[in-house]
Amino acid sequence: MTSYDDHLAAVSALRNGTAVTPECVDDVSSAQQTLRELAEELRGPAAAAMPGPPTRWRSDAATAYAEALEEARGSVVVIARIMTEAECALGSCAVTLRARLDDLEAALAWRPSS
Amino acid sequence: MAAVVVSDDLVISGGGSTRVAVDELFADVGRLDTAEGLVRYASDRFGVARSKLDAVEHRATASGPLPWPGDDLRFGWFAFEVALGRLRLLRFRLVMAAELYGATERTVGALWDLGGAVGASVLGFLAPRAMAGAAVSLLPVALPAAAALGLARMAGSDPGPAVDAAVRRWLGEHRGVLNDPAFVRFVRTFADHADDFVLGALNVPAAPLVGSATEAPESASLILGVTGLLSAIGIGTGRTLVDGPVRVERVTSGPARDPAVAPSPSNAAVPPPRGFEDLADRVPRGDAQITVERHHVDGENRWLVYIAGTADFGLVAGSETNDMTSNVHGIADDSPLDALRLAGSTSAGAERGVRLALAEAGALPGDPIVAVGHSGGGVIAASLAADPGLNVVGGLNLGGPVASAQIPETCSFISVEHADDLVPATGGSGHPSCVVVVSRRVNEHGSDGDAVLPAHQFVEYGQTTALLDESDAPQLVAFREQLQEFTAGTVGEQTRWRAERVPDEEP
Repeated sequence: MTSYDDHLAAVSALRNGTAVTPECVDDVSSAQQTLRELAEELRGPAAAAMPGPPTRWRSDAATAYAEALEEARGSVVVIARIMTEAECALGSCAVTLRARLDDLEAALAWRPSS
Repeated sequence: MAAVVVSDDLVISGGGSTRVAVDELFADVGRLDTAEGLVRYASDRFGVARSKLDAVEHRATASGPLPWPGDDLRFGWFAFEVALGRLRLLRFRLVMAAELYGATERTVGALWDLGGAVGASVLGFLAPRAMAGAAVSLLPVALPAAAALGLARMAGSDPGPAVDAAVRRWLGEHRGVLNDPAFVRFVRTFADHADDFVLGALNVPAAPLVGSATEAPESASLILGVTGLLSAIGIGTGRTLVDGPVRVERVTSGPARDPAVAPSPSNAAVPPPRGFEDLADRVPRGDAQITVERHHVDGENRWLVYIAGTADFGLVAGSETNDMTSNVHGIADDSPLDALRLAGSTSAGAERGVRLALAEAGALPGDPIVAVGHSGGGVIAASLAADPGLNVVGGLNLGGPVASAQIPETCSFISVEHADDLVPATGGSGHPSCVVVVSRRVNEHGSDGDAVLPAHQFVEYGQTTALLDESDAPQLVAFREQLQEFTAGTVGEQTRWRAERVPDEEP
């Protein structure tokens, strides 16, 4: 239920530039989608492209190489995790912003009952 | 029967690079390149998304508190940099390992070269004296042997097979040495310094300095010049290492083309070769010495030519063109000086046979060609690739001495040379080129089979080509892709040919 106060607050937000806009929601949703794709690409093709541990070498150098490979692989996994966390947070932001946008639109549409 | 240990390590060098490494290392460099490219692309996209989010953050949070992932976005950028740095460092270390391997190989090669030059001169200087001493001490043995041989000849029997058997027995007994990679290296060095040996024997002062200007092709050219001259003045058999005219004939017999099984006049349809093993598998090993395959792609004829290895190891040029005479010519052809040779034939009969077979099959000048050969056939494949008059776009050598071939960069040429195979070493060290050399040690602990040169056997090269097909090394992947583009998946039309030398008056 919206009220006259809500209507005034919405008008005020529009005047102050603090109102949620559809473009803002779209931008956040679009960035969320991009981060989701990046996480998938890093977990999929990028991780698959990484060399496996050496199978035909048997030396200290091979062991050191395998460890360095594991570190590099781990750092790619870390990025994927960060992308997923950021994507989840942006998802929550987008939901909140959309709710605020809906409230704003409802408040602006309010008319006194005669 | 002792187990034969087979190594699957392919060592790759050349290709216009100073790097040398096992194929797994080159493959890993390629994979790291790909992974780095993908992470960089993701990083770029993340950068764009982050810029947009930075721009929208103020507007979004102005409407009220939000679980804005500011820390994740900042740390994300840092994480991308860390991952890219690690991938770059790893790739750099692999490349440096390959460079170090290559530098070590070059240092060892240079030391062998220096030792070869000095050693050959000293050996050449000492050899006549040692041989004179040995001849005196061997007289009690040599005289009865010579008498026995003379008596055998007078009695009408041919001592040749007995001598041949004795030589084969000796080679068999010394197989371990012949197939030792160190001995193979010694042969490669000696091939480059045979002239130092001769100059040393002639007591030429500072022979190593004089001899450094000539390598295996020049030595081979000199041998051909001398034998040609001897032939011209009537000394010797007249055909020792002296080539002659050749002709080719279509082969329609054999298991695959037996007229009793299938009608022969039509050309055999063959699927496109899928990789190295298919190419090796199509090198002829029967009546025919040459197999020609035509693929019609985009309105042009593309040709694959497969050339068999040496069949006659004698020094006298007979009707068999795949012989030592052709081999020596094949190596001598790599020297520009060989064009100045006045005595002897101008080129190898076996190579002319291949050119004739291609022409008879319908190849026209300018048609793209991929040449494949084993042993002496590999030498011919390299000679064709080096000919600017032909459009050879790719080649595969299996165990032929091709190090000195002047193959242009426009031709992708892979030379497979087993580390324990003596034959590729007879061509010397050659020169840096665009040829990608793939090496593998076949018998880590020797072979107890019957073959004198087990690592030179066709079956061993076949097994190595199977490993080449499995390898992800970028050089080998590129060749396989080029082969697929060359045939474009079309069914080929195969003909088989046999070349033979004919008397001079019957060209």
